[in-house]
Amino acid sequence: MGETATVLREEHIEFKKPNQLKEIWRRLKKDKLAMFGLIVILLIIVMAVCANFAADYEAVIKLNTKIRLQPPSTEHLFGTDSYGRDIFARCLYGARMSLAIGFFSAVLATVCGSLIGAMTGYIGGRLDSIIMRFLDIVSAIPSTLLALAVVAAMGSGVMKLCLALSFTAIPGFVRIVRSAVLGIADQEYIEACRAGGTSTWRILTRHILPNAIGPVIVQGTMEVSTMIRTIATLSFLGLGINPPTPEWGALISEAKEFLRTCPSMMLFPAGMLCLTAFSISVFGDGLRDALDPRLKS
Amino acid sequence: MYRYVIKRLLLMIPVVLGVSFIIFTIMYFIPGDPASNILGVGASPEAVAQLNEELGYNDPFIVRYVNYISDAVLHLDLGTSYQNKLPVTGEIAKRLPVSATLAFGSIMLSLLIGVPIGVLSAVKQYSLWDKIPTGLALLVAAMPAFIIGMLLMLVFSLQLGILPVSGVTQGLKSYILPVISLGLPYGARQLRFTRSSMLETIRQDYVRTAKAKGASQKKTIWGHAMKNALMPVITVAGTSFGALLGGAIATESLFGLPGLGTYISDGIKLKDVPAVLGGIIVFALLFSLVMLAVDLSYAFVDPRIKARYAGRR
Repeated sequence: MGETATVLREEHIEFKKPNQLKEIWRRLKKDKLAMFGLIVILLIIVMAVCANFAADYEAVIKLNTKIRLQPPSTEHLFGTDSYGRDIFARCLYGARMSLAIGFFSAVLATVCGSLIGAMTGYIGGRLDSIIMRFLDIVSAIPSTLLALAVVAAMGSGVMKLCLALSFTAIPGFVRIVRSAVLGIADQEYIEACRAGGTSTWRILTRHILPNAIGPVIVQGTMEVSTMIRTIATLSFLGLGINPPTPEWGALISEAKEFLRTCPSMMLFPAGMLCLTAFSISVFGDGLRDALDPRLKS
Repeated sequence: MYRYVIKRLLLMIPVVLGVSFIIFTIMYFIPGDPASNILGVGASPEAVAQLNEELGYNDPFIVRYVNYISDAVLHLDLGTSYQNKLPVTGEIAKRLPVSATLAFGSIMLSLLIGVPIGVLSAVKQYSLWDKIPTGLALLVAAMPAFIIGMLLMLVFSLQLGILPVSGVTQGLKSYILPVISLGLPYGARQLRFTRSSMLETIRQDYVRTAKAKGASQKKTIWGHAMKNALMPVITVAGTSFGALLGGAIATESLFGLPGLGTYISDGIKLKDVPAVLGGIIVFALLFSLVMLAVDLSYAFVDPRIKARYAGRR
């Protein structure tokens, strides 16, 4: 008996556990455009984080009218603006602001939207119809206008801006997660959890949400790009980040008056904004294909 | 069909009421009172208090909301702007044609660019005819319209001097640059939707059957596949048109177009509550009407949907 057991143990074959993350990364690596996007995003993040080493914050806000509106040169890579400030330094610090607001608002919208979506989809009933009707109504207001109104009511400030931006993006996430949850909530294993006495919170966070995570991550990534553009639009209209704090949209707005005399003042921040938004979009596209190859056309 | 339209029109009432309530609530929290806004900084506190009383500012929130809505519904009176003391309804009626022209032009341009190129890149999938347009579309779709507008302004107005920089003084010529700057990103979006919808359609059995029966490429695509691939195209065009009516704020502001978008955004900046409320309510109404038109246009494209509408009681 003991001998057989030893033999069985020796013959035990080890199965290699398939690693989901590795598989996704392998698929993502094949997509050249998505990898380009990822590299550009990482480069811009590194540049934003290390902005201190490239230029002092003093150079960003200190006025020096003697050297105003200069074209690009070796001393000032992107030239100088109407107050003689270095545009390269302002773009770098602007990246900090734009990226931080973009990421933070997207994460906030993702988390809130997913939780609300999971709850409404799982609990259903009256709560679901009330929340969904409310979101239908919110969706009838253009997001930029809604963000503008919320900013006006709450007052200016980076934190309030993030809240206003994420508020406009929440309906999208609620819809995605809700539809995923509706497909899962009736399955046997959820019923088994409920019968076993698992709490609603645990069922939602451990069993239901992981099933909807793919589309949520993709939408979240795309949302960062949308947020960066929306905040730029708000700043362009004078209701986002106030000068002299650098932010890409605010820099472009300042350049409006000097479009004829000094186009570089607009071209560089606009270029960085578009490059970032483009990179995030292509990375999001690639990520969607990598997470769910069935979606690839 | 008529029953369906009437039902949808009735369903618009709660949506528009809901939008007005949400915006009314948000505006309620904007600091400051109307009389101080109207009378300016130098006004005496007594005059401010009296005007506030006359305007009903001291009434409870819900009374103010009900008064506002009953005026709007019964007399089509959306209040008087704090800023220029003109009726909001008249101001909106004056500005709406500007926004409508801009939105209509941009959507037409987006369809002209997006649909043919989208079909071409779907038919010639993975060739250069596919890769170059879709790559460009990705890039353009990532650009905010006001940046495209500034680039166009730089080249065509400031460098070449062939098109006006701002305003609507030169008639339709003034709309060329704003329409292009909005039409391009929406066209890019349209291209991507048309492409994926077409790709799905041309893989269907009936398209293969048409090809097998000897129908030419042109006939298969435009005669058989196009009508079925059109649904997402209509949806995108409809939602974009709706959004553009009030959402083209940055472009309107850049080119100095006196449209609905700038009216609302200026109202928000100047805390002109009646202007903002009126503008957004009219916008929500238009948006709902456009969405209804989109749903009805499905019936013309797809007889199956027409039958479903007719069957609804």
